[in-house]
Amino acid sequence: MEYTGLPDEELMDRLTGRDLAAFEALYDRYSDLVYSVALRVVGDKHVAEDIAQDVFLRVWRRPDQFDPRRGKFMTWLLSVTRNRSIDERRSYGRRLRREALPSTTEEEEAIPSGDERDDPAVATVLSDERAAVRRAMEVLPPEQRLAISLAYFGGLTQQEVANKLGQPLGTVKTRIRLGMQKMRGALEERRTKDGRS
Amino acid sequence: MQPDCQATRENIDAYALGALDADEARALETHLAACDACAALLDDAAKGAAALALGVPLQAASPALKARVLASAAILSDATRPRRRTPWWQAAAAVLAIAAAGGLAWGIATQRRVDDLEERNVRISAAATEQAGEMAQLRAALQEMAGADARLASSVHMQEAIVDVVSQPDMRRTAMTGTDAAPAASARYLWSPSEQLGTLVASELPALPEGGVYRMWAVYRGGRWIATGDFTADADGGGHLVVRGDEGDEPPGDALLWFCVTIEPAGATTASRGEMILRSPNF
Repeated sequence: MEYTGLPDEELMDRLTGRDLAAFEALYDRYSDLVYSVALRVVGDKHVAEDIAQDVFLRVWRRPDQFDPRRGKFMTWLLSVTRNRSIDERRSYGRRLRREALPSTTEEEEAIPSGDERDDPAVATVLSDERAAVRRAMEVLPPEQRLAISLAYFGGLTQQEVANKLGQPLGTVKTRIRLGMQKMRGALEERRTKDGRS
Repeated sequence: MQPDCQATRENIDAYALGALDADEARALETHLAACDACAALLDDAAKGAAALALGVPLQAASPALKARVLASAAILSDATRPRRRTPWWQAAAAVLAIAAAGGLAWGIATQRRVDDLEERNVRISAAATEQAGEMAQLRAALQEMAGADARLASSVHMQEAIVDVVSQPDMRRTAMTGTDAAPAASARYLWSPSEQLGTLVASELPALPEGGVYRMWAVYRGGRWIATGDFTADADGGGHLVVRGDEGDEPPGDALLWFCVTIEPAGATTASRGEMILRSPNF
């Protein structure tokens, strides 16, 4: 049975039957991405590997937690990964800041822009979709990218972002709202163009 | 448009990013449950948030991670099959593989054995890489590894609990250190709030008085001490405890502050508290 061409949702279906080959196909497809998101949040390779392992074992043990009626598998997987990573970051925040993120600056926490490179060893999975996302991010003003990044990758509430940046809460709310709207708009515009071409 | 629609639409992206505080999030969820138009916006907001993750620079996960994940999945698959007694070697093997898998160098029985286990687990991971599809061979290798250490067979119950806990996405871990009464003692406690399950592994425990027991406590805000279980130690001072909670065990609304272990005389009620030998940092 060849699994590499099967859609995510079909592979997830097979997981309910304890199909290890389907699980391996999902792992191969998303492990670099899951690991990279975890690494982006916690900044420590060993902790990021632990998180990636937890996430995939959760997928294996509880495939029923993914509900295809509520969205794509990848969206769900990335949400699980981000939330698990934020939990870890909060639990070990002090240790991580002391040992692994000693010199993190606000700029370093900003959303990766197009001039940050992937590891060349990584297979080009989802390369078109990822490129579109990164181009969409480039349209954001830096202050919007920063506010969004501190919230999403730093696990901060809007109030905490405002405190960290020394900006009024209303300003931060506006930056986050406008930034996300712009990014969605850029992605939508690109999808429309791709659809026409 | 309902009165809350404007506020909801202003906050929906922050909600998808996880950037609302608890009260704001609850208010928004209440509104979403009653307003289909706003609920439809959440899907777009969630996709936008997921797109942020998609944009991170990609780094390659290590080949060893794949081996560990696949080996753990295969073993967990067996461990979670309904109500079949797990052979002791298989449960022990699961713990060995999981310990390697998560970098969980907190040891199985004592810290001293960890280095030895890790060395053997390298071979297990290598075997899994080469033979991920042939788990029978992996299990045979694991059996051999586990068989070399008969002490690991002493508690299948404990080992199954560890496998359950470490595979939970909400697993928490904390280290306990010895007090002045037992400066050499140490322990690791892993627990899953969602599963109401925890495992304590302690080493270098001081000798117990005749008939005495070690008792683990969870201490909650407001000075509430909840006894989670009693245990004893082996001849080398190693001890372990599986904690299974019920819904009613946890004081509602009270925050967990820290864990500790005391020495209690035989038959002591949970109203008494003996000498403290281990404690965690405050949370």
